[in-house]
Amino acid sequence: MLKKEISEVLKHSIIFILVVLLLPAILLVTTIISDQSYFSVFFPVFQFGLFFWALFMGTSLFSGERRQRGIEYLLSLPYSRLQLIGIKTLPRLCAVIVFYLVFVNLYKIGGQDSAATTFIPFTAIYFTLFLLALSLSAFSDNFIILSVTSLFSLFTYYGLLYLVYWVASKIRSIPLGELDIEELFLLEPGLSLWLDIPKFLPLVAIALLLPFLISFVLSIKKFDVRPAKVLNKRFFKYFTPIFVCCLAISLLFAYQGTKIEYQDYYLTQDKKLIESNYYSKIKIYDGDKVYKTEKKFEYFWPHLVEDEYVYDLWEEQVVRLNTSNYKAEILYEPPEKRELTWIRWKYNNTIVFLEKNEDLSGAELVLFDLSSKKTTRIPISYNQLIDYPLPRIFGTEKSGNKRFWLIRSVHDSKYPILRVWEDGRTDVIGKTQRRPSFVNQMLITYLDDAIVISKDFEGGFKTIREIPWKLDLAFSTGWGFYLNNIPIKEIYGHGQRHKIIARLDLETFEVEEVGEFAGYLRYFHPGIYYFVETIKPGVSRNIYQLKEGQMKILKSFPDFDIRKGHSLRVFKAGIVFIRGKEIKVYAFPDLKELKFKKL
Amino acid sequence: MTENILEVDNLRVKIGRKTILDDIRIQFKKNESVVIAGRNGSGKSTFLRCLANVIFPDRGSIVYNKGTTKEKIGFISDQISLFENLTVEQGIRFHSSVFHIEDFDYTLINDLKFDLNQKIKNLSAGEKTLYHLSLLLSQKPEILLIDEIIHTIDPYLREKFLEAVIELIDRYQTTVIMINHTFSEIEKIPERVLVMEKGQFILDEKCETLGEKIKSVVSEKEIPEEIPYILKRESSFQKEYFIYPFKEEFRKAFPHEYKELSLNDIIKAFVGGQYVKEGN
Repeated sequence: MLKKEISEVLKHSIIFILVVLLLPAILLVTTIISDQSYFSVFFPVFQFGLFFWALFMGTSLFSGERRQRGIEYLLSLPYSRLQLIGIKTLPRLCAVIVFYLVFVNLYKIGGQDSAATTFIPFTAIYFTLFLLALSLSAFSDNFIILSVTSLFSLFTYYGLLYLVYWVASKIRSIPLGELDIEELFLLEPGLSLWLDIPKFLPLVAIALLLPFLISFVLSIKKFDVRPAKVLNKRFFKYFTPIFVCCLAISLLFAYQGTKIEYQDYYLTQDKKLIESNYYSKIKIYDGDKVYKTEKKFEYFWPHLVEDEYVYDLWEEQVVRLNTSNYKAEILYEPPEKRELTWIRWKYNNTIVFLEKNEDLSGAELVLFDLSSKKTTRIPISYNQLIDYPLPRIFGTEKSGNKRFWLIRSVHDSKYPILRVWEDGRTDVIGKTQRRPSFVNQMLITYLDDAIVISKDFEGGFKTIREIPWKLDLAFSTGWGFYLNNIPIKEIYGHGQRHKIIARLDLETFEVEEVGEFAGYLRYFHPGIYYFVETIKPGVSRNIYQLKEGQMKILKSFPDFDIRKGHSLRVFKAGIVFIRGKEIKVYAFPDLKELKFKKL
Repeated sequence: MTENILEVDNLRVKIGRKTILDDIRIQFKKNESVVIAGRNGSGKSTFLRCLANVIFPDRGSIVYNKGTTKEKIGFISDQISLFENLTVEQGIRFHSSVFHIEDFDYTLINDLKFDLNQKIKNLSAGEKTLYHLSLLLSQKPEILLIDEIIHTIDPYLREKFLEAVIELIDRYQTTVIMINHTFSEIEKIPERVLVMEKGQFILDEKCETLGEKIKSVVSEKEIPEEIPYILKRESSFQKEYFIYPFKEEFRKAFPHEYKELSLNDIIKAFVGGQYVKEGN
């Protein structure tokens, strides 16, 4: 019996191979398709042909016997129905897998360029179609009805898959787009072999397929020559409860798989701990108490603290959290089809940020006055700025009676600097080799072999000092977010290739090496520097304060291990050490541990 | 007492909302030859298909004697069901491998001069039936189920077919259950007759005693109410009653000539009776 089935599948395989080999040749010879290589025509034909192959292999389980009027003879053979299904399915499954492996190998050796569909969606559809068609193979005596039913089931199946993730995302208040589930439905060629699919997706997909397969196995145990509707009735009798169970299970998997857990903590100046998580309410720990905001946020990332207010870095709106009354307030929302760039800055009573169209055009510097809640918009017409999605504002000053804003971008590994005037004028100041800074009304830029200090003299920036320096050093006031010019004495920086920490004295303009750089610097306005040292890659951290050219160790974390998911956050108010579920908070200046009971 | 080879209990088959077989309880003995008759749509073929495992009952059980495996059950369908894309030889090889037949009996195949390389689909209906029978004969079945197929075969092949069946009964003590309407052709075969009506057996009698249990009587008068009959045929001059079950005392109650009936006439009376009842 198995031999007969194998020979039948082999016959069909030969016909399939001939069709997919000859069809491209006919298309090329008849010049229906011309000027293309044989392989570039063959491969998409082959790939689409495989869908039909999977469909045919699934639906043809009994069609041979039906065509030959041999179904009664088949059923009278000394096999149980399950044995019959096993014998008939095995060669078909092997054929489906063999052709899939051929496809994978051809895909790797050049098929990717001419593929008709993306790899993962193709794989999913190919096997799903086969299994669905197989499970419906006894659904009707008519091959066309079977094919249509299988395709309809495939669409329903994919609809359900989408629905399950849609429901899971709604329950979690996560936009569906965050889950990358759409990738599974894209049939555009050229995407990579493996996509970043949501966790448990294969389990959800299998759970939704199970009702079809289990109902098939259960109903086929009593498959006979009665009209298909008798079997279908039995099929649905099993299908309905199994489907309800599997749908619930798939929802659970989808719900579990869409859990985006990335808790992070921020210590405010008044020693309150803010807990952020994706698509959650913000939690504020204050001694023994914990408070939650009313509203959920995509991800509230505190970065700018002033008095009792904490401003966010991440959201599509300008959001401010009041740590006294624990209320989060949306200060500004961009107009439709406009979006904010990543960071917000603050100058006096003004929140400053950049806004652009979704297509990166129409960049504007937006000044939001916190008292009047009014915005002033300054258009920026500078292509190199809008080409880059993350331009930064790094300084502001008055020249004459007009205020200007300094913005840097990145272009060809260089940093173009732009001066945007409040009256709408835009000057391109020039380009610097490394990230520029603006401190004490001085612009710090870099040539290949020098550090350049410039100052604005109403007519433009003029160099006041050029310090010869060949190492790839950049001084930083990164993550400052305050644009108020409070004079500072010194600025620290580090090199990328040359692993040193250096200090620039802003009075004498002397540069000195302070120590070896392995880790990262943290800057807090005005003029406060910390250095988080990585002793061994991934494990153990030391935290230093950098002051007057000295590195003073504040605290060591020898049991820090990034491989175990540990993380260390340094804030102006202290240090937060996250070790799994254990959160330790140490407050400056004495690094006394703060206790939050409900943490 | 001969053992039962097959016991059917509480058998019910439905197709859609229609009940085809309803609460059938019957036993078949080893080496018994049984003919099932009944009007079209009475459920005969469905019953045979249930025994052949081609239809699963919705309720009830079919229990074969211990040792009677599926390999020992042969079924010839009225639909002539074979893998017709195979050649005669391929069909034999396939059947032999599935039923583990080591020494296939080519006698019938050779007798009928089948071309072994010919596709089964190119055989005539009668040839296909004989070919199928030859496959089953090599299987040495303990139970042979034959649906209403004889009428499709020409007289020569019919004779061959019936000879083969009789030989099978004699050689292997096979239980034969066949559906047929015209008993003149198979008179030598049946020991027991079953008549089916609306999914139930209304007659289950041994052939040897059946003649005693059913008689016909012709009269100008109506017969008394206490005499049961299954069919009444009326003409302008007379009435013919088919009395069942017949008792000797009816001769006193209604003194007339009671005629013996042939098996064929008995079946006709039962089947005809169903039509008359339906008309009433």
